[in-house]
Amino acid sequence: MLKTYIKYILLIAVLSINSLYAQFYFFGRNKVQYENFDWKVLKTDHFNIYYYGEFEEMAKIGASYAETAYEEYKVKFNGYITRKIPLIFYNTHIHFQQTNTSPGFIPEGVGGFFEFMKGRVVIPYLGSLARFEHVIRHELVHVFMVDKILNQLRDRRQQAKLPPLWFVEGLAEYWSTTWDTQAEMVMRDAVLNNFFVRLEDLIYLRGYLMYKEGQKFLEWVADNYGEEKIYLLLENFWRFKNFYDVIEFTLGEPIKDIGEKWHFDLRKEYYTLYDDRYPHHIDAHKLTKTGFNFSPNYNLKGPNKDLYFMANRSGYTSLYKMKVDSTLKSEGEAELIIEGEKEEAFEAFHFMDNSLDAHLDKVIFVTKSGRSDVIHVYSIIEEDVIETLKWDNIISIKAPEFSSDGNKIVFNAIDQKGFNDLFMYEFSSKELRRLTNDYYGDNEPTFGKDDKLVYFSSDRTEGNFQQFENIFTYDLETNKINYVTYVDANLNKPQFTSDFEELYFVSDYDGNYNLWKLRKDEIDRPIGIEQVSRYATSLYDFTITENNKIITSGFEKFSMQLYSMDKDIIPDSLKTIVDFEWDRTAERWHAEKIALDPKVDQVVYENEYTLDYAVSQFATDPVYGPRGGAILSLSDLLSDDKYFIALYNTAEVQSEFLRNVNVSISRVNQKYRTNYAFGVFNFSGRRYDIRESSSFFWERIFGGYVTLLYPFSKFQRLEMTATIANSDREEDDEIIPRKSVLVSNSIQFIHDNSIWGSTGPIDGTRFRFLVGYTTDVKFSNVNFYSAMADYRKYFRLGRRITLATKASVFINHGKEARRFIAGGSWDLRGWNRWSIRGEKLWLSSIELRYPLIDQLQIRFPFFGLGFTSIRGALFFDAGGAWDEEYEETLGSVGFGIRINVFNFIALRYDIGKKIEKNFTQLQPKLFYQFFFGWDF
Amino acid sequence: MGFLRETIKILFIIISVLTGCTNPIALKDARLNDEGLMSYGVNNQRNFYIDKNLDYENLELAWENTTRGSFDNFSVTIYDEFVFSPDLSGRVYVFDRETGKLNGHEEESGEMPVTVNIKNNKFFYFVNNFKETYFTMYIFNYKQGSLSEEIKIKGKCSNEPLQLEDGLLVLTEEGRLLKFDFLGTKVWEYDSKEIAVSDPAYIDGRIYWGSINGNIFSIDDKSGKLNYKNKISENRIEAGITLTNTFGYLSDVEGILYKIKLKDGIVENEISLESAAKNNPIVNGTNLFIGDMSGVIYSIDLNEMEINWSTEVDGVLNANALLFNNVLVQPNLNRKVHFINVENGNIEMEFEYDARVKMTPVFYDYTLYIGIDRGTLFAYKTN
Repeated sequence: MLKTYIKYILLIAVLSINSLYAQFYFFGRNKVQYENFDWKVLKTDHFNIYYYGEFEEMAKIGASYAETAYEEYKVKFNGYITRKIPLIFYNTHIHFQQTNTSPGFIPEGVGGFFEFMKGRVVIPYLGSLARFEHVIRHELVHVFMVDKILNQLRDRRQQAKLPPLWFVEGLAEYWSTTWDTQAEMVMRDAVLNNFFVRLEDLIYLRGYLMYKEGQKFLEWVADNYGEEKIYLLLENFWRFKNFYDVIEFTLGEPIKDIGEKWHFDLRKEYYTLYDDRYPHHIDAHKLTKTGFNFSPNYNLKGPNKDLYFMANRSGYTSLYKMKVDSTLKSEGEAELIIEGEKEEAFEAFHFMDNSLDAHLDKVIFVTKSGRSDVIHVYSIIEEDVIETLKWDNIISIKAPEFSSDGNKIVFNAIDQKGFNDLFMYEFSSKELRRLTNDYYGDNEPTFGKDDKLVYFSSDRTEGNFQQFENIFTYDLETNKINYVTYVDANLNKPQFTSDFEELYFVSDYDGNYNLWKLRKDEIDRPIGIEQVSRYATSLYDFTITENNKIITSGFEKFSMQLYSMDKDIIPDSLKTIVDFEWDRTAERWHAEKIALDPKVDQVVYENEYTLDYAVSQFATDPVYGPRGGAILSLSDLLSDDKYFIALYNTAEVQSEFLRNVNVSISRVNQKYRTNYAFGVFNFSGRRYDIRESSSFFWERIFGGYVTLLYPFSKFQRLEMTATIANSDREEDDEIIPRKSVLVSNSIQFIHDNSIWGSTGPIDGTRFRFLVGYTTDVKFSNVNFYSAMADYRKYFRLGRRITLATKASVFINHGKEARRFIAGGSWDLRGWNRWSIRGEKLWLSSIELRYPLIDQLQIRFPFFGLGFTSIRGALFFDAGGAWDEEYEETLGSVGFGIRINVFNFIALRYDIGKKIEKNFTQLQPKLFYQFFFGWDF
Repeated sequence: MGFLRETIKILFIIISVLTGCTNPIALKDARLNDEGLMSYGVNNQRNFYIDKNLDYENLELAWENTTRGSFDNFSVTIYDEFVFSPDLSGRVYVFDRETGKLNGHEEESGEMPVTVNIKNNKFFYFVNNFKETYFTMYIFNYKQGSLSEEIKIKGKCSNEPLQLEDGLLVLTEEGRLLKFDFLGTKVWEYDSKEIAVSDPAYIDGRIYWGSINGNIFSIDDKSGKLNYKNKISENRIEAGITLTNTFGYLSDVEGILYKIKLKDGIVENEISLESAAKNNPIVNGTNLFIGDMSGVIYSIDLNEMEINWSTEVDGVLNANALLFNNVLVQPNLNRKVHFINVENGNIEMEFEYDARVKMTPVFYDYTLYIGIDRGTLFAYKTN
């Protein structure tokens, strides 16, 4: 967080005086504010809950969950949070991605977060009240834990610190939910397939597995040492610097022994699964080998009976097609149909969501496109998208399915109220019909026989099995909803066979997702469910084919692959059969909402500004002498509106103190689609202008700037900057100070759809075009035009191999045009850093990026060092710089090593030869160059 | 001579820097009159009851002073003209009882989690040592201003010691009960082998406490032998026990409050509270008062174990209250102290602070002592 704010400060400092110096810049994607959120606040006893639009009913339900959790956690943590906790709700994940409370992009898999600086909890609603409650509880565990730990350390006058992330997230999961199917899916796979990370190494683990291992460890501690030990781990946290010492002290055993016992118990628990369960690749044919492959859809009635599916194999989630023969074995590699996440139309596919159906000559699939999800209709014949469907009130869409005649589709979607309901669209009439309209989560609809009924999964289950997801029907003629199944398990993704005789679905009845089917009596009434598969790790999705086969998407070895299996894969003796025990007297369940006085407790949001951070520093520089200053940042609670204030002084002697005051005040607003920033500045002090090799001067420059940023999409934007600055410069070799009043304007277009590896971009394209004009409006000392073009393309040669190319030209032309600089590890390697100068500059590079060492670990007696993803590079650079007349072309060739250090910085080391004398000869010896910085 | 002066000056500066401007405790003028409140709780039965009325409406702030670290649920102790207070940053302080002026402090590396005990010219304080798997009992001679003994004890100190006529009883969190004489010599030890986060209490030669496993222990004070261990709850016990002549009262983490016959540890009666209670019940012979973690304060008939009244406040009540004949003084983690009418449960008055109230209040010589987070100690005088 601090690093990001420092980036803002630097950005503003650069912008405020440096349209002139526009050589260093950012590409980057855009967080587009499509919505103008009209925020409101619910004030409860312990929370201020921020919501917008029509989300009030869901916000009140969320408030009730939050207050209930608060009462529970204050007892659990033996603590009380004396401030009101801000909870910020978004009605969908799509809106959540627009939040400014986190400066970076929010991936699809993030279900909410607790932000430390302002103590905010930010949560999207994802279509399920059970999940909403879980996430609220999870984040509140963080709130209470952080409060407890920080108070504990402050009580003892110790420096603030937190436990390792695996414990933080593990505790949040452990105290917010029970061990569920998703957790079991991940842990089984980790233990059975040797992805499990030992206790001593958990501090290096990241990702979802970290959450689940942390949760599992705490459950194991509670079972084997007592629930109170969990609490004592928090109570003893202050006592040792290393958290493993805390564990040892609390549990009374060495960490190695604890870890080994835990691992042994896990293996005992999970290895026995193989007594009567099996991996996906046993008795099934594996259709795919790499990446994450999901949402399979066999086009039984299509022209070629191809298999369509979503996959992420390269970093971009995309739509694929695979030809399969009559035995459902693949005939060759999968073919990329639509590449996602490179252009606005297919901005994002929803990872691991059911979002695809193929029928007859069409394929429908869901992507995010602009402000909401849309459904694309792809013609198999024309091999192109022929129609895109979107609706104003619908934000998030899932699971579209065709009717038998192909004229209708049914899907579930989240609207502005946050309701996750069923919708049906008819192509011929272009009419959208809403089937359900309530806060129960309705999912994955499919048409029944003759398209009269819609079968779907929903948490509206009542009675003994309240809120489990069972299968229901919606009668399109009578609008009535009826039960199909009634069990204490979750049943998802109902699918009929082509003759509609059998209904299959995925269920977690036995603790893991597997395939089941409906049992009916002699008069076709549903009476129970019957197990069809018994995989040890989850069967996540499936599609019905013919010939008694089913294609599945199975989770194994931390990836999802497609398999074809027989329907009758398990013997009758291993099938679990469950009979329905209907609870006919059950009443409909209702979610509790918090009761509030609308006049007092429901208000419109007004900007509430608080200090984000204040940093001061004093330093002594051997060349420039002492300097010191402070940076402050303020923003409103939603971080839409920010103020940055920098104040520092570079005086070397007391008499110069007032002369060397530097101050910059800026405002950055990101509430609207057009972001804007403006500010004023005064900078004075001694400078060395690296563009002029002999120039060393004192300058005072003060003025103001305004910047507008308009994103066309996630990938493209326009930036406009105008600056006016009064400059008084005293050069050492001049008697009369040089004055100017500089007005600088620039406009630039930026495109970036690249994706990054560990040290730089590996795929996609990014480019930037800028034109600008700078003039001295008072003294006519300066007057030049600027034009810049920078184009970079990354050709993916393999999953981890990229050919990166760059071509750029920088032109300043006119009176006292500023020079550009080059040389060094960032552009012309081998040449001295920033030693090449000219008003015109061109650069180009070709670089082959490849994996060099996947993992390097060095263990010393008392500590260890580890590096992963050390990359190699073979490069060729060329360029030239000149003022009036072109002088010579310079170049270099060589190879290098790149290491990513904690995702904060990349270290670079290059070895090669310069190409000298106007590109005619290689340097006799080698150069060796070490520096930092990401790949271009 | 000049050289010597310079040398002494330099040495003085070095020593001052090294000692970090400390203010050691040396109370040469303290009288050995045995007057004060020299250990936690009003008495060893831990009933936190003062048999008089509190004129709460005329409480006026006499002084306040600040410690470096924060307070926990322990209390101050009073001896002669001095108030002793530990804090969680590892310091113990002595304040002047009249003026609140700091007379001195000692510091160790760790936290001081329990109340200071005082006997004659010594006080006893306990430190959970930083980066160590033991805690230390320090015996400090406050008249001489020097440390007499340091006794390392394996484990963690989280339960209030008991001060008897002939020594101190220390119950570690690991469930070991140790008796020391006032010179620091261990007299006996009993290992219950069960986690104990329950302040023990003493009556008639026996010590009692509850364990994490839901057992109640009774140990003979003279021999250190087990009288009985009895399972009274299926849930964890994390609260202290309060004793009358015949019964003991304590609650478990599910909020069940037990009335136990002391002679054999059998449960005589029980009552369910709204939530867990982690503090001691407080008894005055007729009724029992207890605050639970959800913020409800109860008055319960001691004989029938039925609720007389209950009052709900917004907060967490994990510190022990102090009972007078007319009011119950209840600290609340939500920055308040409530003065509650013992007859009907009405909140007669509240003090509100800008930090959490965790310290157990103490009343002595018409002065009420209250401590809040960040280590501010208030002394209120009344009539």
